[in-house]
Amino acid sequence: MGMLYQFGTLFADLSGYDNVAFPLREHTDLSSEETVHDIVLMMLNAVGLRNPCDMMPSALSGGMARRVALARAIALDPELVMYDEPFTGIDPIYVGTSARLLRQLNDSMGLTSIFVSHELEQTFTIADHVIILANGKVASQGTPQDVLNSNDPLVYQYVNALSEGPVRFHYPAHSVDDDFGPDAGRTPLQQKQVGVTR
Amino acid sequence: MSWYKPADAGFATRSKLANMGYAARLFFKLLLSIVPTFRRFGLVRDQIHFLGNYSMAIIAVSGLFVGFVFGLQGYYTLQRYGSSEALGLLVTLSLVRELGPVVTALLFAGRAGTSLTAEIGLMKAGEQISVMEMMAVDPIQRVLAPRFWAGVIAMPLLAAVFSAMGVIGGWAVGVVMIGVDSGSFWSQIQGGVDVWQDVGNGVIKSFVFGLTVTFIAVFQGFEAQATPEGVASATTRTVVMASLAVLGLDFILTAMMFTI
Repeated sequence: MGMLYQFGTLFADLSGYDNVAFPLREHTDLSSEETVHDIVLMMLNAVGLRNPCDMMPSALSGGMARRVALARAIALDPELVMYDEPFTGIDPIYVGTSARLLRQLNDSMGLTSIFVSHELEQTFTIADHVIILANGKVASQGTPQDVLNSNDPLVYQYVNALSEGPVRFHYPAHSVDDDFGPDAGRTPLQQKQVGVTR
Repeated sequence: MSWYKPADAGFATRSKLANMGYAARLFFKLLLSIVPTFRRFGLVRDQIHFLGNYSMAIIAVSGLFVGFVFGLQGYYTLQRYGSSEALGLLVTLSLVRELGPVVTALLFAGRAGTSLTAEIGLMKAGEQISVMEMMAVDPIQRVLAPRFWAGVIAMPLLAAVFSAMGVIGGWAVGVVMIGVDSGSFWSQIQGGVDVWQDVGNGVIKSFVFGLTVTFIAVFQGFEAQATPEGVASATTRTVVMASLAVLGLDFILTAMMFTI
């Protein structure tokens, strides 16, 4: 099983190359460094970063760091890869490329991929099965088309990014009269007492 | 929380005991990790370089200055009794038996201990430790053990450098500046310092201090809250606890060495 964290989370004291080699060195007894080298470069090539592999994580951009982390997640040829928000905080060019890359890796390596994402457009483009979770329950699930056509008001609001619906913009609060004006912040008893002294 | 409420006192005691138990278990785990850790010596070597070599400058310079001061103070006191030729012996014995291990451990806690705690704490805050756990790699074995053993190896070597620089400092002030006889300075050292009784005891002390300081540093880093404030307070705790532990243990070890 491999996992890609939200911000890549590379080991800061290891270069990009060593980050990808890390699971190989920890979990396999590949005696020859040449084999490790070949596998690492294959993985980095798959994510398009074969060349800058000796850069330290601090020198990589957010998107590059995440691609190196993806290469690390698939280095041991896992059957299942989990992705935590793979499209968050990266530039628009890479969002599309990344979505295609994830789908391509999924198909070519025969993986099962589980995404947690708030980026609906890309997720609906590449996913086979979508589950929308809300309030601790499954609000809707099925193919992307099924979810888009859902009649559930919550799902409708979510997939269409509407500001009005079951989820409100304002967090439940006291009434406006309670929070503003001369009696603001006083308990009913205090308000009564103030009224008496007046 | 108030100490006079039995439930609160009980809760505090139990959580302290649980913490101590956890620390003790981690300590034994680290001690038992010696074989697998040294099988991958490359990791330990890198940490010895990081902890030991980078602390060398501060240790050597501090040792030299302590030696200078010892040379001056020692000469001032000894010449009252007409035994200024024993200056070398005074400087060497004080450094090798006592000051070398203790001051080195205090400096080591400040220089290397804090960096260990901050490094491990930040690895935790940056989720690197949990990434390792997700990869089924034991962070205690991979991160803590090499640093712990590197500290244990580096500390006695640094204490030796400190003492050696101190003796050179004492010589520079006593012999070169004040004019104590060079021959008696060195021959008193040669005749009066016992390899096992004096140097050996100092080495044992520095080894114990190395275990203590490095363990406190890695434990505090590993247990730090994964926030900037958490790492900051863990780093402070490392210095405070390590310094107190070193001074307390020094008394116990000295008492044991005199009686046994």
